[in-house]
Amino acid sequence: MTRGKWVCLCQRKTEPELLTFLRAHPRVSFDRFRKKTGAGVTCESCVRDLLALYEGVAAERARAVRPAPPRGQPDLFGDGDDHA
Amino acid sequence: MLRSVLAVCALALLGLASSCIFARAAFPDDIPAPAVSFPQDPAHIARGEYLTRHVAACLSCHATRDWSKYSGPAMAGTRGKGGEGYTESTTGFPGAVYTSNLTPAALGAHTDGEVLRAFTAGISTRGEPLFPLMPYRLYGTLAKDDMLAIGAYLRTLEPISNDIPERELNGPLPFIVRAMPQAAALADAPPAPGTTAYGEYLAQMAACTFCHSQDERGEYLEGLVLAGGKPFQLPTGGTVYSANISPDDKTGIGTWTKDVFIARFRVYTEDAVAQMAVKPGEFNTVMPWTDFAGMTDDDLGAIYDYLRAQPPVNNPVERFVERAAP
Repeated sequence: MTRGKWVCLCQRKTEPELLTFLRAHPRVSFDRFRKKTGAGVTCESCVRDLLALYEGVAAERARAVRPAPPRGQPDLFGDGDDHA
Repeated sequence: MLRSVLAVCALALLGLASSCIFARAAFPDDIPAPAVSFPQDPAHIARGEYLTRHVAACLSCHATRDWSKYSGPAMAGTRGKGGEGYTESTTGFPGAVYTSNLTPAALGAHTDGEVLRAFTAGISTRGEPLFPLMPYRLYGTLAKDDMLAIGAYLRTLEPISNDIPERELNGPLPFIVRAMPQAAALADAPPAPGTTAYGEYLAQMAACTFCHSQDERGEYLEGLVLAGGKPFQLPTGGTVYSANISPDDKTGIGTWTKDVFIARFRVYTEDAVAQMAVKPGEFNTVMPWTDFAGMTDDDLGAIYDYLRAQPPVNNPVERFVERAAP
C-alpha cells in the first residue's frame, strides 16, 4: 500500500508498541505517556485512542493484583479462571 | 455473412433483454413477507433497543451523521430518520444510495412481516431490493426472537418525516442488486451468553467481519478475514482503512487483553465524542464508536473471546490516507 501522509503523530507508534511501553512503565502518568508517544500536540481522537489503551492496561494491572481465591474455588472474579 | 452477424447480434440482444426482464420479474418478489407480530412487552422492547442501538448500531447509519466530530455520531433528533447519503462525490459510491427512514413515519403503514423481511432478507417495504451496504445478509441468520425485538423497538421510535431521495445505481448494478435478496433463515435462539459462539453471534450482528475484512464481489478475501484494510472513503475527504482485528501480535490485537479491548470502546461516550472535533480532510472513522460504547462488558468480552479464537493474520494496515481510495 502506498504510504499516505500521517495526520497525527501518535499514529507513528503501533498499538503493540504502546502497550509494551505501558506495561514496562507501570507508574507512568497519562500526560507523560502522551509526551513519550508524541501525542498531545495532535488530534483529540488519537489522544482518546491512547487514553483507551492506557485505561485498558490500568484495568489489566488492577485485575492482576487481585488476591487469588483458595484453590478450586469458583470463578469469583469473573475472569474465566477458577484459580485451581 | 452480414445476415449471420446481424442474427448473432439480434440473438445476443434478445438474450440480454430476456435476462433483464427475468431479473426484474423474478426478484425479489418471490420472497413473501413472513406472518409475524412484533412483541409488545417491555423486556423485548428493551432487548431490541440494546441490540438496535449498541450492537447492530442501526441508528448511526439511519440518521444524519455529524462528520465534524470523531466517528460521525448521529445528530440529536435524527436517530432513525434515515437519508444519510452515500454518493459518488462524497464517498466514491457507484451511484447514490440513501439510508431508509426507520421511524413509524415511514414504517407505520407496513406490516411487521414486511419490516422484518426488509432487514433480514433485503427487500424494502416497497418491495424493492435493498442495496447490500445494508448488511441484511448478516441479520438473516440471527435469532428470530432478537430480530423481532429489534422490530418491536423500531415501532417505538419517535416518528420523523423525511423525504429521502430516490436511489441511483450505475451500470449493471440495478440488475445485480435485484438478484441479491434471499429469504431469511432465522435461528431458533441465540447461542448461550458468555460463550465464544455468542461472541461470534454478536460480531455478526455488529458487522465486525463485514467491515474488518477486504472483499471482492461480496466474498471475503481468503486468508485476510478480520485482517482489516477495507477502504472507506470519508465524506470529509480521505480514505480510512479498517483495522486488523485478528489476534496477530504485530499488526492485530494479539497483545491486547480483554481489559484493553473493553476500555478501547468505553472511552467513546457521546459526551467525549462531542468534544472531539475533526476538520475536513483530517483522520476520521466510520466506526460508530458511540453506539458500540454502550455494549455491556460481558458482550464486548464475548466478542473479544471470539476474535481471539480466530487465526492471526499478519497484515499491516495504513489507517488513513488523505486521498480517495483507488
